[in-house]
Amino acid sequence: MYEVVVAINIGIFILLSLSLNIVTGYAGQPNIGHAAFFGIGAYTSAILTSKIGFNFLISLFLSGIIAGIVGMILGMISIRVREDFLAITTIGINFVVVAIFRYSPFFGGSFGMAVPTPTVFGIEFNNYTYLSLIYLFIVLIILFLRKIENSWFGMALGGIRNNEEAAESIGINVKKFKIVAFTISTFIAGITGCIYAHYMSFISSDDFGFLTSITILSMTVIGGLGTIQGPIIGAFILGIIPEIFRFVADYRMLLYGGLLVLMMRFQPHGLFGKESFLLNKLVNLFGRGNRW
Amino acid sequence: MFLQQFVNGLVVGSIYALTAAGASMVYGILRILDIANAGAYAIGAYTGWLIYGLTGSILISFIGAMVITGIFGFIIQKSLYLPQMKQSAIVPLITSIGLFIFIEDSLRLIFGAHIKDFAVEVPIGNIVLVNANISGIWILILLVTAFLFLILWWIIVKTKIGLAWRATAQDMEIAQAMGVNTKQLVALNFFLGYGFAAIAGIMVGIYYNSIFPNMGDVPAYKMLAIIVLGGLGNPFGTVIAALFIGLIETFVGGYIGFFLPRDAIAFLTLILIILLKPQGLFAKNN
Amino acid sequence: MILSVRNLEKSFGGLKAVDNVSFDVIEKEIFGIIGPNGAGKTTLFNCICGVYQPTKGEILLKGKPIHNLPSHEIANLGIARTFQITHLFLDMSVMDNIISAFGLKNYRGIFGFFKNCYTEENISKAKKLIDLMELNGLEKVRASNLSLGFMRRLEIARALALEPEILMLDEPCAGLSHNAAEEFIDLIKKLQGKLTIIMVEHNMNVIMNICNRIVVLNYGKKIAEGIPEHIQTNKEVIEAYLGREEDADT
Repeated sequence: MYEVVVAINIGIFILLSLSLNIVTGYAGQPNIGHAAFFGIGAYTSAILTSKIGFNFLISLFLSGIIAGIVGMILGMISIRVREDFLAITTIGINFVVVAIFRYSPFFGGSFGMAVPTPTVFGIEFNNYTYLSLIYLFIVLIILFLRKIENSWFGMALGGIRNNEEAAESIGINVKKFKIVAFTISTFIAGITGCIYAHYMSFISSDDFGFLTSITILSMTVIGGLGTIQGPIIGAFILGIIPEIFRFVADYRMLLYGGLLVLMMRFQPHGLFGKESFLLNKLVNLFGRGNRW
Repeated sequence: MFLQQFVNGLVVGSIYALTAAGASMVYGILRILDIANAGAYAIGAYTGWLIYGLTGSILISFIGAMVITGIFGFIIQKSLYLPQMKQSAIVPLITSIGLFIFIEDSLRLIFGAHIKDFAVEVPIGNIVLVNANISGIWILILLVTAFLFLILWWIIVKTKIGLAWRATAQDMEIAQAMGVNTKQLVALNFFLGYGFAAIAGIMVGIYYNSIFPNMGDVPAYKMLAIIVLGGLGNPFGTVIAALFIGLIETFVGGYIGFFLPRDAIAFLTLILIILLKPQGLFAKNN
Repeated sequence: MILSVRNLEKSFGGLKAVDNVSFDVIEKEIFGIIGPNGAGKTTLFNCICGVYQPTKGEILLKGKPIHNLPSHEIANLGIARTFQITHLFLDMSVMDNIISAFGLKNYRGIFGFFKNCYTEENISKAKKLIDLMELNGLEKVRASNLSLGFMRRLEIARALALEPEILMLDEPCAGLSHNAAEEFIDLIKKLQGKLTIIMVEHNMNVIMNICNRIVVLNYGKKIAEGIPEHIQTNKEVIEAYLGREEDADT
C-alpha cells in the first residue's frame, strides 16, 4: 500500500512536470507559478463537488477548463511582457492566487477545504482507482506530447523558444501559439489538481505556493527541459529520493536548491535533456532511429 | 498620524530599496535576475547577529556583515553567473532560484528554524513630535539608507568606475572593446549589491528584534516586483519604486487587510502596471 | 510590378528614418537597396517585412496594401526574409530549421498545426534545398554549431522553404570573406529568374554584379534609381558615399 501512495505522488508530479514542460521547455517561457493552476483545479473541483454537488467526471473536466481559462489569461499577459519580466509575473500570480485561497472564507481560509471521495458508476474511489486514473492520464499525455513534437505545433513552439522574430517571418503567429501553449499546459495542471484534491480528501493553500512551483520546475529542469523523458525522470528521481533516504526528507529543499544550481552550472540541459552527457552515452550504447 | 505613517512608509520603502538595489544593478549589466540577492538579506542578518554577539558594536557588525556578505556575492558571480553568460536567460534565473532556496535552507540547518532575538541598543533616541513618534531605529534606517545610496550615486555618477558601469549597462561588448574591465565591474556590482542587502537584513532584524531563516522570502517576492516597477537596470528608479511601494503598503495595507494580505500589494501593483506599461515605470529605453 | 513602395515615411520620435521614398520592383528582377550607413535601408526593409508599421505612405504587393499587416501574415502572402544578424533556430538541427518553414499554411487556424511535419514530401523538399544551398552532410548538425557562412546559407534555405515570390535579403554578405562573397554571388545566380529578390547590401562588388536595378538612399531619402552602370556614375550617389568618407577623415 505504501508503494501505491508513493507511486501516486510521483504520478502527480509527473503530470505537473510534463504540463509545465509545454510552456517552459518547448515554448521557452519561464513559468515559475505553475502550482497556482494546480491549485485552481483542486479548489474548483472541491467547490463543485462539495458545495454544488457536481459529479466527479464533470468536475474533472471543469477543473481543467477553469484552470485553462486562467492560463489563457496568463498567456495573454505573457505576450505583453518580456521574458525576464514574465518569470516574476508568474511568481506574482502564484502568490496572489494562493493569497486568495488562504484569506477567502469561501475557500475555507487558512483551514482549507474538505473534499468528498468520488463515486463513479457505483464504484467508490480508492487508492488503486486514483493510481490507474493518474497513470492513464500520463499515458495519454505522453502520446499527446509525442504528437506535438512531430507536428507543426512543436515546430512553432521551437521557433518561439529560439527566436520569435524569425518565427514570425516564417508565418508563425507567436501570440496565438503562446496563448495555446499556456492554455493546454494549465488545463492539464487543473485536471491534475482535481485528482489530487479528491485523493487527499483535504486541501489547503499551502500546497500550491512558490515552493511547490519550484519543486515542479526542479523536476522538469533536472530531468531535462524540452523532452518527454526529462520531466518524467526528474519527477521520479526527486520524488523517490525522500522516500528511499528517509533522513533526506528534512534536507529536501536544500537538495532541490543545490541540484538546481549544480545542474544549471554543469548540465543546463538536464540529466536526460537533448545535449546531456548521460543521454549521449545512452544513445551511443543503444543507437536511435531518426525521425527522418 | 499621517506624518507617522508617512515616515513609516519611507522606512519600509528604504529597506526594500536596499534589498532591491543590488539585483537591479546586476540586471543592468548582466541582464540576469538574481533572486539570490534576497538570500544575502538573511545572510547579512545572521552574520550581523553573530558579530554583534561577539563584539557588542553595531558599527562593526554592520561593516563586518556587509563585507562578508559582499565577498559571498563575489564568489557567487565568479563561480556561477560569469560562466553561464553564454547560456539562455532561463539558466541563470533557475540558478538564482536554486541558490536562494539553498541559502535559506542552509541557514535553517546551521542556526535552527526558530526565531532568534536581535536585541540592540540603538544609539539614536526617539524624536517625539506633536503628531508623530519617530523611533530611533527608524531614524537609523533612514540615515543608513540615505548614506549608502548617496555613496552609490556618487560612484555611479561621479567616478570613472561609474562611467564604466553605465557604459557596460548600455552595451557590454562595446564597453569591453573600449577597454572596460567588465569582470571587475561585475564583481564590484555583486559585492556592493549583496552588501546593501545584508545591511537591510540586519536593520530589519534589529527593528523587529527577530531573525529567522525564511526572513528573506517576503523581501524576495517584493524585490522582484520592485525592480521591475522601477525599470530593470535602473537603480534609482528602483529606489523610487521601493519608496512608492513602501508608502502604498503602509497607507493602503491597513484598509484592504481584511481580504488580502499586505504582502500581495506589491505584486498586484506590479501586475497592474505591467499590463498598462510593459516596460515598468522608469525603464531605460532598450 | 510586383511590389510598390509609395511615399513611404517612417519616423521614430522626431527622427525620419525613411522620408518619402517611392519605387517599384519588377517581377523576377534582382533589386538592390544601397546607401551609406544610417541611410534608412534596414528601416525600409523592415517596413516591407511587417516588422515596422510605416508612419505614412503605403506598400503594395501586386496592387494590394500590405503595410498594416504583421510579419506572419506577410510571410503568408509570399514574402520571405533573412536577417542582418542571423536569426536561426539555434538549438534545432539544420533539417528542422528548413522544415519549420514548410509549415507556413499549417500554422494558421486551429487544427492544422497538429499535423505531422515530418512527411516524406517535406523531407524530400528539404533535401532539395540542402542541395541547392550546398549544406549537404550537415542535416543533423545543430544550427548553433555552424560557421557564419553556413549559417547564412541555412537562413536563405529556410526563407526559400516558404516558396516565396519575393526573397528579401538583409546584408547577406556582411562579414563574409571575398571568396565567400563570390560563392554567394554564384548561389544567387542560380536563383535568377525564378523569383524576385530584393537585397540590402554594402558590398558594392556583389551589388553591381548581381542586381538588375538599384535604388540608393541617403538620410532616409531616395537619391537615385536605375541600372548599375547609371548608379555607379551618378554624381549624387558618389557624393553621398565620398562625402561620408571625407567626414570620417576629419
